[in-house]
Amino acid sequence: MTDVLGNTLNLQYELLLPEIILAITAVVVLTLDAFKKELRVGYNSLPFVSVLGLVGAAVATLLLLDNRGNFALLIELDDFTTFFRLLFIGTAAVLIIGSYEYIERHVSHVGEFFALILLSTVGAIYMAAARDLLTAYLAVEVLSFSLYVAVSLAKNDPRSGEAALKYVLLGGVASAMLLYGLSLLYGVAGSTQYAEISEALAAGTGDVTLPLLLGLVLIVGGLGFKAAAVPFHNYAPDAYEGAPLPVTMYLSATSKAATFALILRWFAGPLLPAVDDWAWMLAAIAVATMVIGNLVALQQHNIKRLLAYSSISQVGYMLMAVTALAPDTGVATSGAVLVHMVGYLVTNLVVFVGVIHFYNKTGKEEISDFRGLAQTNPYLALTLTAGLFSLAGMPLLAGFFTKFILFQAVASADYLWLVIVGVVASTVSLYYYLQVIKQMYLYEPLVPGRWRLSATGYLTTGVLFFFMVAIGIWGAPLYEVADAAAGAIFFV
Amino acid sequence: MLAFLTAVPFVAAVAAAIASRVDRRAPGFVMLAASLLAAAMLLSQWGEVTDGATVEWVTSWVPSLEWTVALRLDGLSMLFGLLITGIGALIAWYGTGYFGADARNGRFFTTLLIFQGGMLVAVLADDFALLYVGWEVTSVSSFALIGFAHDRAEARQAAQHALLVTIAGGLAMLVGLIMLGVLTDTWRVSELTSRGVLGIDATLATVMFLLVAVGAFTKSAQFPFHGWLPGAMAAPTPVSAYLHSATMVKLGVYLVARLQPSLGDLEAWGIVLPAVGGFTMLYAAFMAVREVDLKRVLAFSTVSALGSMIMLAGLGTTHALTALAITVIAHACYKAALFMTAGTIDHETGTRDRLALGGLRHSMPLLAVSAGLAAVSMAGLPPAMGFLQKETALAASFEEPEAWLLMAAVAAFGALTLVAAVAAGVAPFFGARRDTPEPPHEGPPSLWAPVAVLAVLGVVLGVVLGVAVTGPLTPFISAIVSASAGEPYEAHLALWEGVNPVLLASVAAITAGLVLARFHRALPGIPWLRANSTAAMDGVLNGMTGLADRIERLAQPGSLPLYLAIALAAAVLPVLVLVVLANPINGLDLDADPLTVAIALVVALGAYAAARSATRLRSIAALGATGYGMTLLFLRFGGPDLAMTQVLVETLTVVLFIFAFRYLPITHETRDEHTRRHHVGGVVVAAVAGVAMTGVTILLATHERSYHLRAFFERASLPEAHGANVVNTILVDFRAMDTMGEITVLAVAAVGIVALLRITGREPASAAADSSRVLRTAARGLLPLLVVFSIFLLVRGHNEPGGGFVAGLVAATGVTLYAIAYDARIARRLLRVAPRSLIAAGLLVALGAGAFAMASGLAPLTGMWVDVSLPGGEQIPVGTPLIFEVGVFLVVLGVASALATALLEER
Repeated sequence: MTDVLGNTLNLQYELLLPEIILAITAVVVLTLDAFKKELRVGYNSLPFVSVLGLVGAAVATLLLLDNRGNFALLIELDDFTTFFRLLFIGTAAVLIIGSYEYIERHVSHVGEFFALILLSTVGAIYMAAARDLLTAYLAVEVLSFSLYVAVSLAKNDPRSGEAALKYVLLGGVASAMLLYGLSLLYGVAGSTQYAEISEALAAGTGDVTLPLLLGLVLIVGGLGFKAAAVPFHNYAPDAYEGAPLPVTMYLSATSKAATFALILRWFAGPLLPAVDDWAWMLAAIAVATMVIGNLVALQQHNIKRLLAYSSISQVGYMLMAVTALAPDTGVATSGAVLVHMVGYLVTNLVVFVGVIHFYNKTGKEEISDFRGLAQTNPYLALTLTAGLFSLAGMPLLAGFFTKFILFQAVASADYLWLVIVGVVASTVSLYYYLQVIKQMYLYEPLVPGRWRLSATGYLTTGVLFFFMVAIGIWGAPLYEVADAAAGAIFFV
Repeated sequence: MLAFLTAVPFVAAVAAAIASRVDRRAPGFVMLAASLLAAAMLLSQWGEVTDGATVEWVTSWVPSLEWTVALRLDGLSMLFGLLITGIGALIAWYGTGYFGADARNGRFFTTLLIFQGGMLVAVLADDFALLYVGWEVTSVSSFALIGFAHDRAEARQAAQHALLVTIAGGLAMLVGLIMLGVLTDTWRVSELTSRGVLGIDATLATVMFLLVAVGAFTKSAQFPFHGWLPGAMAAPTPVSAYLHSATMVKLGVYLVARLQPSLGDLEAWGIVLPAVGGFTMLYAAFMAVREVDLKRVLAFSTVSALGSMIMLAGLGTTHALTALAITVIAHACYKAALFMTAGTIDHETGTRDRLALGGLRHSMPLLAVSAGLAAVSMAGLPPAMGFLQKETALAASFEEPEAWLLMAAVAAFGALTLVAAVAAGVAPFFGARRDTPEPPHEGPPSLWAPVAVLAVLGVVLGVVLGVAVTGPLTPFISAIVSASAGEPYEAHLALWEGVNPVLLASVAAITAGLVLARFHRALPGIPWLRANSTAAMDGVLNGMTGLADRIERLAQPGSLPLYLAIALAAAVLPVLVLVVLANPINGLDLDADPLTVAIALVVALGAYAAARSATRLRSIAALGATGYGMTLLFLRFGGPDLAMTQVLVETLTVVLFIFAFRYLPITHETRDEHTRRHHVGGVVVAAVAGVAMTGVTILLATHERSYHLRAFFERASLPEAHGANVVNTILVDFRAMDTMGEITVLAVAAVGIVALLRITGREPASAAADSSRVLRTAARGLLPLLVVFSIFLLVRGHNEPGGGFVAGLVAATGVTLYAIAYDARIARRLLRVAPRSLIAAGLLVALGAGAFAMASGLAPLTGMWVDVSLPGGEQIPVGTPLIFEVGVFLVVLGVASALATALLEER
């Protein structure tokens, strides 16, 4: 089949099998939820079917491991796509297994919730897999709309609706910015295909600079919002605080990683020839994000807001590395971003699943509520401490290995000053992570008495903890995989 | 061997945790055994190391980056390894007596063993990453150990302070090490030693050295980072003795000694290290004698000794490095011993206030003797190690260009240290007996024997090294110096070198010290600055938190308009700058047609009025003016389809707005000072955005573009889609799939809105009871006209302006008019079927149109055409896109009617 411009289109639907499975599972979950009474199934069938679908999608991904190619010039199937497929499917599985008890108790419209998670995973995957601007934009919107709704689903929490409203309105503005920027880019390059944009920009003459710059400003602004980079971050702490905890986790994990997948695809791919035009923008945003994110985190009292700012600052570190992309060192740098992203994701999930289970038990989410946790639940306290230390980049944990790789890559690309800002910011971050750790270890509990996690709580935190330590000690396999994935996105 | 060696403490840590469940005293003995085992493993390599050889263990870490995990044992590592394991064993022994059967023993010794493992890793590491890992393991375990007595706020504060300072320094060091790795292209310390750094840019090398130095200074408590160490005295005494005098604080010294061969040639090395080290040495020696708490005396004196070590490393000559090696050994022996003494005194008497202690020799004779011996060494009296330490340091100073200055400093340091030794190790045992909170008595052997071992060792080592010049230990010193000098070196040591300036300075120092020591009880009274680094640290932290608070209140108050303004401003300001720089007005050929200008003014005034008006209705009306103005502009520039759609959408929007806002307060908000400020901000952001976007539009409109899509559609519309109206053929044929998606979204949105309106469960209201007769009559007359017109638009749409979308809107206008005039229910009855059925039918018709192509094996929604003969003999083409168009019409009609009637019924 050919399109109107005469390109031959490859319509191999099996390349999309994982996402097709996810979408069908979402519909099945919705149906199950709607006909719960008639089918005589309980709540647990929803997470069970969702996880089943995720496992199916993961298996399909692994079966497609050696398939390369594109679907209709819109979706690219390469190592980068496979990397993110597995990452996002895994994250969704952790979210569902780690928090299905929470969801039952504190989330309204549970069927929709699971369906939204599955559908947004599809959007996230296509953000990483798109090879055309419009496809990418649609993927962004699939993810965003799912999240707008998901944020509003907290039961009996008036903050939830307010958070969703802020998120959706500001998100709409950001989408408009992004779309305007993409239109300008299309105007300059004459195509929405990544490969053709790359060629056009590489061959570009001087007189396209201005529209290109304008387009880049708007694209960076739109992406900055989606990634919650300063100064487009304001909505994030409010949205994080108001959303149900698993959604907060999802916002800080999949949503962020997907945005960075897109950023890497764009900035290492089609936009790389224009690196001189955008590097300064990203550098400015990266610095602002690292500094403001870490600074404002200092005076937070709510664990969700603290983690919101913490994840904002992590965006700064990754943007710093994107800034340092250059044609000669780019593969190593974007490989470093991927490594850091996985480390951050695993660590962040450990902390969030821990906090979710803490909330399941106590119903509290202030930092001071964590006092004495080392005595009431030493396992959870240790897990959270390790997670927070890993976020701060302490050795033997994933955060150290990944930050080391990241900083080393940025320093190699001659952006030493950014590394220094990053390190100073990391030092500040240690202080606020320490506030939580201090509460757990150095204070006496208000309510003594030991308690335990649920079986799935132990399972998810245990597996994630293992990965967090494994990456920290023996990160070489991860590095190899990330490097291979990063190699796929470059055109030059 | 080395890998096993570093594993010993970690395995023992697990064992200690398990053992604590069996017996509360067991963890201490686990550590004792593990330390002895590790020490024995180190000593098994004694022969090779003293011969100047090294032992290595290397394995790959990240192969593609050529990163390895490498351990390496040479003289320097051996020295620190023996300190860590040997003193570790004694501390473990001491700890069993100090803690007894405390329930927290398991936790304590586990942490202490992890610390020991981290230390061993740090001093044996041959690559930067591993060095840093060990380094930070010690920081974190130190945090846990200082905070061990966490029921005291002071301990919590001190633990946090220590961790923040050392980790910040560690991170600085990490950056320095990364720079070093990137610049020299090696991550191995031993390779670095052979390569050196002289080839690289001097400025970068200096920056890198300073970063590494900050790491060493924080860890080894050098001025101005020293404040955490006296604070850390809140830790239990075994921790103070082990971490804060014998081992961890010497890591910084280890680091500079280790890097001396590669970085020692830098100019900054020879200035910064001696200056910082020398100043710290004197300042802390003075602070030490002012303290009254025994442990704080020792802490400051430790800071002072560390300063002297940093200074010696900075001098970097082989003599200085020899003095450094001797100092490290001597200090570890006497300081750990005296710390344990202080702990035992505290344990047995209940106080550490040196002014409140005296005459303890009667009740604790064995401790008194041991402490006395250690104090002799610390005081620098012959024949102990301390004397040798002072002699070698003076000798090293003597050969420097600023010999007299350095010698005077070292002598002053010696004198003040002697005073501190008397105050902490001698005075509590002599003089009159004083009352203490608990009656003093000799503790169990574990509380004094380790002191005795170290004290005796300090004297014995001094004699062996100093008297037997070619004795068994001298090759070891040579190996240490060779490792830190980067070249083979033979050490020569003697207690007696004849009468020379060095000896004279030494005697002067001892004399001055002895004189001063007579007044040691009066020294705490000397006035001194109140400022200290703890306060500075708190100031910085509070300042940062305050700043964070201000930022949060300023930029994060939860206000949506503010967030929007910030995000917009951030994106639009760069655009504005770019636009202004590009100067769009330059060369612009303005062809102001009066009508267009007039319309544009209407649009602008409408927008202004909408923003300014105080009531909602007026805002809606003003918005309507903007919209109709846009319609005129479309019309003026040849877009009849667009204009038609715009005018209908505008009309219906105004109507829907009014329906929706009927029950909201008429005015927007109260006009207080706060909202006025908000308005000003909003005006500014809007103006910036408006100007920027106008500029962008002008710039882009004057830019060359390619129109290949436009050319394609103009070319293909008639032959392929059988329509002359390109807009329409795009909608229903070329991009019919998109239109299918759009009408689906419309349908879903309408169903959602109607469902939301119904969710309240209120009875629908009848609105039309009081509507005017004129309106009713007009509506009745207009409806048939509108319906006919809409069908006309639908039919002609494929070739002339019109189409299903516009037609649907026109028909819906009629229905809405009817609903206003009569009632929503009556209007719906007019349609014969429920709006939602219309929507569903429309979607089905559209899908059905698409299915034709699928049935013929083509892609969905591909247009299929047949020629139909009209009765007049004329042939016209009829195709599935026309059916699709009807589907669009039905959906739009259904959606618009559903929304209008449902909103009207809302009470």
